[in-house]
Amino acid sequence: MYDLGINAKEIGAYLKGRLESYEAKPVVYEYGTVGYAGDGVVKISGLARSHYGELVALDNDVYGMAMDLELGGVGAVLLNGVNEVQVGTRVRGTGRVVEVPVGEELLGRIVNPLGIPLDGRPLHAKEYYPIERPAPAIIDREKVNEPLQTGILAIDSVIPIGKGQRELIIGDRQTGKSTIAVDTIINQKDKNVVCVYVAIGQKVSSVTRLHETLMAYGAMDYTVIVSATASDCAAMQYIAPYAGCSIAESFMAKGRDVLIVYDDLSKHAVAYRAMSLLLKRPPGREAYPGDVFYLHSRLLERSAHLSKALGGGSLTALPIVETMANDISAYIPTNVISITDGQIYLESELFHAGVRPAVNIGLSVSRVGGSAQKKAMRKVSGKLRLTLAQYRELIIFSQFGADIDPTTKKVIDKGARLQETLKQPQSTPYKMSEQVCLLMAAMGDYQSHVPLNRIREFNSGLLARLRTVCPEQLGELETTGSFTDELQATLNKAIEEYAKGFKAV
Amino acid sequence: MALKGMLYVAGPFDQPEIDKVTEHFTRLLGQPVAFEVKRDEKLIGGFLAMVDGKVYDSSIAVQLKDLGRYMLDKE
Repeated sequence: MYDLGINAKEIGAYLKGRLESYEAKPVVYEYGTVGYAGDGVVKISGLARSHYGELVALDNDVYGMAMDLELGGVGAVLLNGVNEVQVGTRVRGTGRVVEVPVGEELLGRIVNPLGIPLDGRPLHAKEYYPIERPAPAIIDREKVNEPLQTGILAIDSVIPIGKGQRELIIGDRQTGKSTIAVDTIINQKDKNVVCVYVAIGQKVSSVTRLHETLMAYGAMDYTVIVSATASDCAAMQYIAPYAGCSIAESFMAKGRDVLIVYDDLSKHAVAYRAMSLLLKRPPGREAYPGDVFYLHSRLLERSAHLSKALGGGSLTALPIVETMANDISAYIPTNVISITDGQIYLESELFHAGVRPAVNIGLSVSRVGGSAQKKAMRKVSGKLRLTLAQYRELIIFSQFGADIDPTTKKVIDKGARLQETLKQPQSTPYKMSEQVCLLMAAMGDYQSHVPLNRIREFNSGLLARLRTVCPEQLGELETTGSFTDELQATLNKAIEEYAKGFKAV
Repeated sequence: MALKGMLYVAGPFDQPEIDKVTEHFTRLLGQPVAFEVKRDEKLIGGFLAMVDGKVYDSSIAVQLKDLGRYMLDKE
């Protein structure tokens, strides 16, 4: 036996004392009864004092959320046990809004939007946050001034994302939207950024595959997955992003940098539409309820870069929206585009032409990320957008005629090599210093003698060479992000030497 | 008009007992109460009254649950 320094007598006396001090009191609470139940929605008569978003407890451990408050009754959506509710079932108001466990204990875990673990291990969270929280106020915020590296060259150079920004990833199905988000999560390894991935209305198999990918790259150590799959009820899918956001905010409140991915908000809007129609709210455009804009704006407004007084944490959001047939002027896409600080637009034509990531640089923007870019990156990527735009324009033009003057040909050649450089395979993030070097090589006409199909070989060889020839310079570039003339000259020289050598091969 | 309510009791009951409970609630709510009485063995002992939008649960079942919580609570 272990000696814990206490004996049975003491324990007995203590328990006896506790028992004697207990006073039995009747438990009094308000109640309502279910008057209508169907499709995960219940109408409750009674519960006159419940408030919006309150968690209501029905018999048999079924829970719901009060959504419609009326005179004499409450409309609620069920969060579980849809089949256990009958007309006449007793309902009790809990006096609490829906809450989710938050904190360090969630790292590496898969939970549902109520914080119940889905990976078969118990969760011992110490803290709970309500799922709906007000966004940080004006005075609480600071300018977005630090970059969040996605590790994807095409994005970090032309559409840079800053910590605290909301950058939409938009495109048709099968264009690599989730891949960009997942690659960004993988790139946060050892960068002290916590990631939250919210899966809304996805297939269970997709979430499983995602979990395996993140495990394989060691990214689960700093990631939380909140999952409301397609088989979960509409209410669960509706609360999922808010729950994920609360989990993310708990880390932000501790002064940490957080990245949250909402995959995807078009399915979220669909779930909310189903719920609203069942609650008999009037349908508007495309049958979405009138507050579908507010649905997403209040969610995305919670992303912020907090002021130093509040710990200086940040919450960067990467919402994903799926379009139909490249139509970005549909209802939900336009809504979310107007809320976010820019968008990454992916195109299936580009994807099938082998341009991966299939980013349409012309239609993609980042409204605040530019000021967050490191000096070196800003310097080398300055003319990138223009060069690519010229290339795209000329390539269409040149399809009509056979004769091209030498100047035009030069622009096209350079653009084609640049586009080839921007291609990047899945899950292979580049460091910031590597990105700068690749762009220096592509923009500085060092590749003009390299055939198009060997550009990638050239680039990987270049990075390998630079790592051996000037590791200090790369390290300096990576840590400081500044670009002194001296540093630039050294790198330029190394690139030039390598380019000459490549010609000989 | 009397307030209508439900009264759940755990075991066999007799009318004087019911009358006593009814009288108590009449005094508590300030208006006459009429209970429909049902037996519910899950209560173990005591009674549960549902009247005027409120539940008054003084059953043994709920008290045991409450006691369990109380014993686990830190002082």
